[in-house]
Amino acid sequence: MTLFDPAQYKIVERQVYSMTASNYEKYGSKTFETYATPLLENAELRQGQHVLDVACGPGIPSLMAASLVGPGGTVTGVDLAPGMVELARRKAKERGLKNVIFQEADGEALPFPDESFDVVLCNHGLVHMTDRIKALHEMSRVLKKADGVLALSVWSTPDRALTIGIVAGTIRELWPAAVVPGAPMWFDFGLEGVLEKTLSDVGFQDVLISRFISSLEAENPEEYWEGVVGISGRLQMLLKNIPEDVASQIRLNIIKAAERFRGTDHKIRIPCEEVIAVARK
Amino acid sequence: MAINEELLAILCCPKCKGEIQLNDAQDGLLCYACKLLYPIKDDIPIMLIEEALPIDSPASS
Repeated sequence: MTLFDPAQYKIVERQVYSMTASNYEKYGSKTFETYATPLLENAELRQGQHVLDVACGPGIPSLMAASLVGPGGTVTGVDLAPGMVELARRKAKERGLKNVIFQEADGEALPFPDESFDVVLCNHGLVHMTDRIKALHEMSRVLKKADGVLALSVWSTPDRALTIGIVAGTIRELWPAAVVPGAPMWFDFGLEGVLEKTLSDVGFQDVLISRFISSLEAENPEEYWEGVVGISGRLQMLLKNIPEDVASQIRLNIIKAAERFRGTDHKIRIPCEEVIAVARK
Repeated sequence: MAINEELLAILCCPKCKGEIQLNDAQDGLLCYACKLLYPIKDDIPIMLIEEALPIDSPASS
């Protein structure tokens, strides 16, 4: 059985997500803005606040937050993958945003002093961390004591976060070796009560949990497949490293599963539930 | 290369959370306590412990 190696996992994470960064714009930009919207609404950002966006990816929540906090506020986005940081910086420049900066940093060892930020955002980033508790302690540490707010989102369970649940289920069925015990999984916080308990155990207070369902729209199942593969570096790597016939069967099964979501207008709409937590330090 | 001064002001060493300083060559951020240099590439500081370079003494910077 393969053993989980956190250090190696991070090295791969940096590489594969740098590789797929540009695909976020091609396939995922609109989708990820949709996913980031409820998180930002729950965070209730105000003008002048200092915000940290942990595992910012291509900077989608960061850039949206930069407009909300205005010129008197700042947003700092950090991500492990240099390709993501580069893309986020380019987008900030294109939009002429001067109050947002991006840099490479690890959510489990943040390079900021205690109590630096009013708000910490983490949009589907926690599920990528190898030590989630350490990462949550770091988020708490850098939050200001008075009114510091954490706003964090994770995926729901595979049967509800279907956009990625379909993919995970198909892989588990056709290539069970892909599941490495101890490795971070997308759905680790999806069950009722798990995220709430985890945040309370770390010391966060007034934890408020809400669930939000959006849907991923595609013209056809093939477009959906291209999108999910396009943005997931881990999935691309897996498909390259398994026998070709298994990889094609995974593709076929996922396309077949997506077909079930074709609406009367012939478009594919796959529901995806996310869990959003807002808590105080 | 021009690292944003404001950014530098809010950064600390990710390992010990202590102060860091721009090195003379201006291509890295130094933590004297941990004896680590965090490289700056294309104006982006890489604040990762795993990517930091060990330094023997402050003089080697």
